[in-house]
Amino acid sequence: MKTLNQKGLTTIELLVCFVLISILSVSMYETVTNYKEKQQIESMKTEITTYKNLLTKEIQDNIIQNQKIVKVKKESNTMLNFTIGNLTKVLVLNYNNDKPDEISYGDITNPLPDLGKDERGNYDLKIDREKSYLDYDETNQIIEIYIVFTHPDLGEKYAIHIVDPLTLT
Amino acid sequence: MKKKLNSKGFALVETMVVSVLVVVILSIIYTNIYPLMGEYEKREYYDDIDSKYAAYWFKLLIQKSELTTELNINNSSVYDTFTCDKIDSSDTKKETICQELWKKYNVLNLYITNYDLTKFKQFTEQSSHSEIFTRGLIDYVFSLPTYAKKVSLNNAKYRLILEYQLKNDPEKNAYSTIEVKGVKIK
Repeated sequence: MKTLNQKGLTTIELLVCFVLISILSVSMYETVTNYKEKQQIESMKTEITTYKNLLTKEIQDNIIQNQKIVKVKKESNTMLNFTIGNLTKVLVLNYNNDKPDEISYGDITNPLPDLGKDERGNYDLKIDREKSYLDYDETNQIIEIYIVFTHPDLGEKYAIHIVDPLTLT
Repeated sequence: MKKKLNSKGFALVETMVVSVLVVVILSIIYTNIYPLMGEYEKREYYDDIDSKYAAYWFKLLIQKSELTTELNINNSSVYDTFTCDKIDSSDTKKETICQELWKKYNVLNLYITNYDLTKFKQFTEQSSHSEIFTRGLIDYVFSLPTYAKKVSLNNAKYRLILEYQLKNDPEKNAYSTIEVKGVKIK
């Protein structure tokens, strides 16, 4: 009959194994934490990009499809008035303190994605008030919409930049 | 006779050697995959929504304007560089729109080439050591498919490739491409 090896592991072998496992765990911890942070930043990027794409498409489609009948009036650096045929649509940048900043276009108000708050309770993702502007060059009939998003982790990496000539027909 | 089984298991040294080998292999894989992440970040500005619409307006401008000279795209040259002064100066409105778009988008280069990018791709790869094109543009063209047809489904003969500086991040350039049906020569 076969006899089983019932010697088991020696203390030295066990100790070496524990030391190796501890070293591996410590070295892996930092890597895993880094990846977790990277993954969070990636999901933030996706949210901002989706927001930017939807809004840009909505505005651009309106202008491209109705180019001949679009009239624009600049009310201020944060407000543009579009007259598309019989319809009036207003593009407004709303800077808020107690809720996320918003970009409203026509009947729809689009609050910026909630990507966390700082210690004071302010929303991390904001519209840069100094750099962003809405402009209309009446002489050449060119619209320029420049909205910069700021975030503590992403900086000013994301922006909406629309330049549309109205008379290219 | 019953065969006796070897039930000694692995020695500690054997296990350690295998562990070291596994670690070495993993680190080699990691160092090879890491640059791909950088590549992905670079591609964030390839054909994004802003650059695509920018290319669309330039395409419209080129299709609707009268150009002063024929496009120099033939056997000796696979591309032509477009600038606003190629628009017939009697059409001041379009020339002004072109200059305004150029300025507002911080356009660096606008190339027109054949719809089929095979030759242009070969040319950019061959000239990668020279300074005809920026490194960014060469990488962008490399990432594009060849579109290996003479014309598109919309009968577009040409292709426009736009390179411009991002307004919110001047260290980075955005790239976009769009088909162009044809050009009118005065």
